[in-house]
Amino acid sequence: MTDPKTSMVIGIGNPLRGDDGAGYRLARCLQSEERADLKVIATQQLHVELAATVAAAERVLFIDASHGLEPCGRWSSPHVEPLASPGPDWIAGSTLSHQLSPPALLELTKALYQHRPSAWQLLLPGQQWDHSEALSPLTAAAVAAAFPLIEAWSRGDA
Amino acid sequence: MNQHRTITIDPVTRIEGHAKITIHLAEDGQVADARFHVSEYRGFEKFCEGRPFTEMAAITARICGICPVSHLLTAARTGDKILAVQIPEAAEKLRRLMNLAQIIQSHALSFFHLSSPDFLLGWDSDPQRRNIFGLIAANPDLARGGIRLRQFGQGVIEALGGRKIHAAWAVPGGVRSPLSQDSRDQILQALPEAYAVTGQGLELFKQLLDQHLREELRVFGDFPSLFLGLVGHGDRWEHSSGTGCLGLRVMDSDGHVLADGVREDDYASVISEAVEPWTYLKFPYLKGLGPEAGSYRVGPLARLNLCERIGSERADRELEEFRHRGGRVVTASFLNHLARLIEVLACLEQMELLLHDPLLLDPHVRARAEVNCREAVGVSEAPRGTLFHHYRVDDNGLIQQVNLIIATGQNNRAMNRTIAQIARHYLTPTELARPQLNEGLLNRIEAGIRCFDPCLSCSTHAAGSMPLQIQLISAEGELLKEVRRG
Repeated sequence: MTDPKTSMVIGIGNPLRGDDGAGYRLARCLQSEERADLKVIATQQLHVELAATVAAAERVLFIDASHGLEPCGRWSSPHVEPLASPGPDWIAGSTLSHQLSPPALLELTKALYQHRPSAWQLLLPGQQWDHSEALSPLTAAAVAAAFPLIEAWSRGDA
Repeated sequence: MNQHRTITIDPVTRIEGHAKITIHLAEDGQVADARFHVSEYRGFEKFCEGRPFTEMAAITARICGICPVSHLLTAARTGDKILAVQIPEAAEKLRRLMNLAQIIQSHALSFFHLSSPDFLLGWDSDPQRRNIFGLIAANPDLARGGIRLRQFGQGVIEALGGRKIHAAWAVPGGVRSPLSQDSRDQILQALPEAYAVTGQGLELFKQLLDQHLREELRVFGDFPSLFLGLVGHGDRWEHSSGTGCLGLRVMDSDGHVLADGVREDDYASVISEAVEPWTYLKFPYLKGLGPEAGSYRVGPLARLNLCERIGSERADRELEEFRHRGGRVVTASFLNHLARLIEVLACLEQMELLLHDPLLLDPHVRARAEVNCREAVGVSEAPRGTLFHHYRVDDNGLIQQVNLIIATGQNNRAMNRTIAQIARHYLTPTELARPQLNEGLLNRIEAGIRCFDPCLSCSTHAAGSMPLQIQLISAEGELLKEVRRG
């Protein structure tokens, strides 16, 4: 049984950039439920100081929008997948700047606090990234489909 | 054989946004020029049209996730002027407190995590280790201290606005909520650690400047230019317009003041913006002098040059030492890093003063009014430099036109001059003749850009009228193809 107090959901995105805001919006919805079993963070970008917060968690789920097309050209459906530790050369392909990727944040947490929580990601397919406060129909449907996936993850079913 | 070669660094790392640098060689093999290209553009000015001006703080705060507070406060300031109200004194002090916190957290990230890996690990060190992870391995206390300082600044913003990023707390007429006594006490308790980390950073960096970084002072963007920024009454260092602010000042490298006390409403009488076909970033300049001679720098270095004093004991001691090191008007862009640390110290001291002001806890923090003005300009000092918001609204307060002039854009010409200077110094014909360019040299060129800690997401917001030019040039310099838009 997972300790509910140590599960964290981090929704990433800019809600003024169309589908890019999907993860952020989903996290805001979860925050409004004021659930005791989840710590929920809605953020536009991952910043270095978030490492201290992540270090207190045992399990973390990152939710973000992705371009959505699978290699076969079909739209991907949202699913929770483990975020494995990156290989030893991961940093070579990473652009470290004012913001971090989920793997970089996890590695930073480990380097600073000697603890890397188990991590998963939930990618929501996106189509349009221009200035807009609306989600495309595809992404809105993916957001709706994501709630039961998060529920299952929070129970430790992922 | 005569050859024109172009060396491209793409993407530039450890800055916010997307950019590339091209270095152009002349026929004799010497570096002829270097250019900083911004290949991303964002259309926020157009996006804002038709929106209520009261939403501008929340909207512009989302231009990027790096400096939302600067946009928030400047939008609120512009909104005050559309309402034509004088905001409550407590609200003005609280906004100042938030801006100080924003400067602290931004400078902490820039110095400790984005730039210090170069200083401490070396320009030529393994690029896979020359980052925050390498810094943690080499100097864990410094790395943790930098994160704690960043957390401190973000914590103050959260205490005021309820959320670290995009706290839509500052509104036209004041702020939504006052500061609680508990929050004030918590900030005061955290101040000693923030002072300690800043002091460690200052001592370490000054030591490095004296020992290992002397060449960088001369080569990383040391040139005469104008400097622009806000100045306070009594020629003090200033970061916010409003009470206590004298206005904008423009100074040259010899210390001559070319414009002074310029009201924010009159910014357009002194500043113009030029565009170039090879970048989305605009080139603001001082009117009357033209885009080259009129180009100016903003940000930490400019602010320290423009003021006579900071107005607090420890920061003023550091300012004196800073001028002893670089002159009354410091022209070395590399000293932006030291200027950031001095500004962090200044912010901490000013924050401490504010936190002991009983008026800070006053519950009256918002003035309410209807639209009384159809046009307004708000200015503040963002961590990277002076930020302008200019709105025109209709009778219902709906935005008709927006102009945003962002710090990174104002440093555009200086960034280009900096990378050209570095390229000319380090990319000698011998270096260029090598089969592979030395990675450390390319890192130095990138680091020239990082002196300005640019935020490109904020700076490339124009839509619809920006020219775009793509040129394909042969090895002999012949233009083969060209695509032009706009």
